[in-house]
Amino acid sequence: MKYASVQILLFVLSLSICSFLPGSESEDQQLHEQYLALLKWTETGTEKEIPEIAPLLASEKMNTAARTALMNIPGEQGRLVLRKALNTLNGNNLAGVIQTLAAMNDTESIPKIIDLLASKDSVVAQAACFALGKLGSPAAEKALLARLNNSDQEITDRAALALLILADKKANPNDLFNAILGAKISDSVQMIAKIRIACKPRTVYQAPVPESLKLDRAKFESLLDVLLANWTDPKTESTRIQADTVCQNVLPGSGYEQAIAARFAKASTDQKIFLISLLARVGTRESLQTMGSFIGDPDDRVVDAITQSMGEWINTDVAPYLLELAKNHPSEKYRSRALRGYFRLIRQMADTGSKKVEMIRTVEPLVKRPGDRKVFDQLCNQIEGSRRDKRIFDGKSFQGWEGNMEFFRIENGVIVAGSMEKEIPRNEFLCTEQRYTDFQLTLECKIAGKGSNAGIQFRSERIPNHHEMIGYQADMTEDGKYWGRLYDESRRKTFLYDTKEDLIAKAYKPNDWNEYKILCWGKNIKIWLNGTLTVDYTEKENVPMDGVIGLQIHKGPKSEAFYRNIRLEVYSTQLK
Amino acid sequence: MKNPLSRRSFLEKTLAAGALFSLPSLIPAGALGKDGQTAPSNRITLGGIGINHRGGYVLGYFLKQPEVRFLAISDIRRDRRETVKAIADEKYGTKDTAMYRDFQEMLERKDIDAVLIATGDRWHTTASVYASRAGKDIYCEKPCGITIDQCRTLAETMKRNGTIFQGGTQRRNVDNCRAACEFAQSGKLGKIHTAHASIYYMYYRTDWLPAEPLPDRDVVDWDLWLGPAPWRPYNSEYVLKSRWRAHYDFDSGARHLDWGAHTVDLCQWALKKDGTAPVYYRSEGNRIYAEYKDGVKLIMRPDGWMGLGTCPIRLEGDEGWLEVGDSGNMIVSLKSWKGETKNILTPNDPQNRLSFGECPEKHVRNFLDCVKSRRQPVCNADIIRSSHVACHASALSWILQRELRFDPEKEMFLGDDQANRMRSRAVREPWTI
Repeated sequence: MKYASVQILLFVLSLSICSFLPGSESEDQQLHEQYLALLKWTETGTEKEIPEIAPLLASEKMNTAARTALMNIPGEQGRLVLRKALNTLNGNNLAGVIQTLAAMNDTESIPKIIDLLASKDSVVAQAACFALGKLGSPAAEKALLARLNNSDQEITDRAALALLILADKKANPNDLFNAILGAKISDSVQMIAKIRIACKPRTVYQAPVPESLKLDRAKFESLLDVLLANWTDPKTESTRIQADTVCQNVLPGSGYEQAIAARFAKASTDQKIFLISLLARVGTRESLQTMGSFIGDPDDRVVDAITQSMGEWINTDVAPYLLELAKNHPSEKYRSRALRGYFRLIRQMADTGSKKVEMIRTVEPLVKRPGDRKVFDQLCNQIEGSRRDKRIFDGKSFQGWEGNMEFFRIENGVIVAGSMEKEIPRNEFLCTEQRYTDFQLTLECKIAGKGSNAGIQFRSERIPNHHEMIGYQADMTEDGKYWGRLYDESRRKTFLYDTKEDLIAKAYKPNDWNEYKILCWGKNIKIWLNGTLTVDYTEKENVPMDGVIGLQIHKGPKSEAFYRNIRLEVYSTQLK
Repeated sequence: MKNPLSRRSFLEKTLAAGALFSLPSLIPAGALGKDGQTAPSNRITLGGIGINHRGGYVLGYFLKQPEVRFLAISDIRRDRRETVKAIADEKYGTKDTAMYRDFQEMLERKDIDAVLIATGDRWHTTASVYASRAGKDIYCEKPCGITIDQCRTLAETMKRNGTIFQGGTQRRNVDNCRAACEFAQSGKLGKIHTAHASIYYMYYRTDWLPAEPLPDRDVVDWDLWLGPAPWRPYNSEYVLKSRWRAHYDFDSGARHLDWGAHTVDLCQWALKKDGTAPVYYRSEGNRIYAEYKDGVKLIMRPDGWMGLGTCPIRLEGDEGWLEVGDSGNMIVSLKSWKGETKNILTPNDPQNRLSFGECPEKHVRNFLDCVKSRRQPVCNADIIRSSHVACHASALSWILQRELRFDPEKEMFLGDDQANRMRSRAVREPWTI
C-alpha cells in the first residue's frame, strides 16, 4: 500500500529527469515506443488509430512500420491515407507507399501511379513500375508498354519485368509477350521472358488452372449466363462441369458480386443455391451484404443455404449478420443456426479476453434453448475457465517464483505470505521469474490478522538492491475496504480508479476466499472481484506495459495472506 | 564473338527441343577440358551475398565442385568482403576476386550465373527477388521468407522468371534423413499418423539494442544491413556478433524456423504433404500441436528426444516408428519386433557417408546439376513455400497463444483477424519486391 520513503522518491525523481535529457537516447526511446505501438496496431488496431499513424508515413524511420500497420488494419481508411500520401510524399517514403498500395491491390491509385512512372527519382519510378505490373489494368499495361523502348536500358528492362508480372493475370498474353520480346531488353531479361513463354507453370501448391480458363469479368458473366441458360435439373455431367468451371474462375474478393446478384431474381432454386456458393467463394463484405439481401426469399431451401453459408463464413465480417438473424429471424431453426455460428466466431476470434467477454455478454440474452445453453456454457468455460489457463503455481514448489523464503511458504497447495508468529519488518514480495505484458490473471486470495494488508502486483518491477516493487497493485486489506481497488505502488502512489465503496462492500466476502481476476490488454486494465467489475482503467501516462507478477505481504503486525489457484492466460509473452 | 557453347545457348537449345541438356555433335577438343581445366562452357560462375559463418561453410562445398568458379563477394561488412576474397583468391591462385559493398552492382555483371545468399533471414526473399530479376540462379539459405506473404512472393517470382532456386534445407539431401523419409514413405511403418519435428525453444523480442554511433559506410553499411526491415538505431552487436536472432523484425517465427525449416520440411516430405500445411494449430508451453486435414498430426517440440543429435524428427505409424537425428543414427521399432528397437543406420555405414545433417554437399551438387539441366531442384521455391508456411502458421499459434485454424490453399487463417494481419509486412523503401 502507501509507502513513503526518501529513497523511492529520489529514484522515481531520477527516472523522470532522465526523460528530459536532451539527445538521441530519449528520441530513440520515443521512436521505439512508436514502433511498438505500430506493431500492436498492425495486429489488433482499428480505424481509430489511423489518424495517429498517417503522419508517420513522412518519417523515414517509421514509414515501414506505419505501412505495415496501414496495410493490415481492415477497412477503407488505410487505403485513403496511403492514396493521399501519393501526393504529399517523395523519395523513399513515396516509393514505399506505392509498393504498399500495390500489395493491397488498390486499383484506384493506378492513375496517380502511372504519373509517377515518369518520376525523375529512380527509386520512385521503379516502385511505380512494379506496382503497375502487380495491379494490372489496361491503363497500367498501356503505360508500361510505352516504357518498353526507352533509351535507358534499366527502364526498359524494368518495364518488361513488370509486364511479365502483369501477364500472369491475362487470359491471352501472347500479344504482350511479343511486345516484350520485340523490345530492346537486355539478355538476361530476354532469357526470363522466353522461359516464361515456353514453360508451362510448374505448380506444386495449387492445382494448376489451365491458361484457357483464366477469364476476366466480362467473360465470366457470359459464361455464367451460358451455364444458367443450359442448366438442367437434376444436374447432368455437363452442367456439373460447367458449374465447376465457373466456380474455379471466381477468385476471392473479385468484384463479381453485382454480376451474381443481378442474376439472382430470375434464377431457379437450384441455381440460386449455386449462386450463393459463388458469393461465399468471393468472400467479401459486399458479397455478404448481397447474400443478406436475399434472406427474405420465400423458398426455404434458399434461406437454408444462406444461413448455412453465413454460419461457416471465413471471417468476423459476418458477426452482425449472425446476431441479427439470431435475434429476429422468424424461424427458430435459423435463429439457432445463426447463434451457433456466432459461438463459432467467438471461439475462433482473434481478439482478446475483453472483446470476447463483450461478445459473450452481447449474445447471452439470446441463449434460450437448452441445447444452445449447453454450448454457450462450454464456451464460457473455455474463455474464462481453467482449461486454457496456465497454472503458474504448481501447488507444491516455488518453481517459477522468487522471494524472501522467510516470509513465504506453501501449505496444502496454498502460498502463505507473512507470519502469525512475528511482526513483518518490511514489505515482502514473491515474484514470477517470467515477465508478462497482456494477460488475464485469476487467483483466489484470503487475508487474516488484524490490520493486515497485502496485494497482487502486476506489470511490476523489483527496485534494484531494494525490497520494494514499482507497479500496479490489486489491493487486499483485512478491513475489506480496499479490495478490488487498483493502486500504483511506489510510483504515483495513488488509487488509479474510483471504485465505489458500496460496490466493494457487496462484492467482498470477509474471512473467505475471494476471486481476483485481472485483465491487462494494452493500456486497459480491468479488475473483477468475485465476478463484479471493480476497475476499468485506461492508462494515459507512459508507464511500462510489461513486468512481473508479485504477491505481497505488507510491513506491519503479525498477519498472513493466502494465495491459491493462480492461473494465467497469456496473450503475448516477451522474454528479455 | 559469342562463345557458341555459352550457357545461354544451352538454354535456348533446351527450350527449342523441349529436351534435357545435351551436347551438340561437333565440339572442339579444348572446350571439353582435355587439359584438366573445366571447360569454360561448363563452368558455373558464382557470386556470394552476405557470407559469414553458415555461408562460409556452404561456400566451401561450392568451391569443391569442379565446374564452379567463385568470382565475387558482396557484403555490407568490409572485413567479411576481405576475408571471403582471400579464401577465393587462395583457392584459384589469383588476385581478382571482386568485392562489392552493394550486391546490386554484383548482380549487374553479365558473367555471373548464380548467387549464394547467406545473409540474415530478413534479406532472403528480397535478395532472391533482385537476383532473379537479374537472371541469376539462386542457392539461398533458409528460412527463405520471414513471413507467409514473403514465401508466396518468393515462389511466384521464381516461377515467373524461371529461376533455378534451391532453398538451404539441405537435409533432404542428407543420407540418413533421406533414408528415414523414404523408409516412412515405403509403408514399412504402416500409415503414418503422427510426425514429430524438433524446434528450438521459441521466443521473440521487440526491444531495440541501445544506439551506437554509426560506423563509416564502407566499414559497415547499416542501411544496407537493414535492407527491407524496418528502421532501428545501429548497434554493432546485430551486425558484428550476429545478435539479430529473436528480434521480431529480423528472425523468422519467433525462432521457430531456425530448426523448424529443416525438421518440418522433412516431416512434410515423409508424410507426402508437400504443397500443403496443417489446418489446425495449438500451442502448449514450448510445444505446438498441429493437425492436417486428414487428421495426421504434426507435433513440434524442443524436448523429449532420444538424443540422436540436433534437428531430430520422429515418425509414428500403425506398424512402428522411427527417429533420426544429425548424429547420423536412425532408430526404428516395428510392431512385429515386439518392442525391440534397432539402430538401422550408424554414422559409420558406407551408405551413410554424408550423414552429417549440416552438410550441404549433396544439396549443392543437386543445385548445380539443376542449373545445367534446368530441372527443379529438390528444395525449390514451391516446396520451400509450403514447408515454411506450415512453420509460420505454427509460430503464430505460439505467439498469439491460442488455437488457429488455417486454410492452406488460401494461406489464410479462419476467423482470426489478428493472425491474418501478421502474415505480411511492408518492405522498407527503396527495396521493391
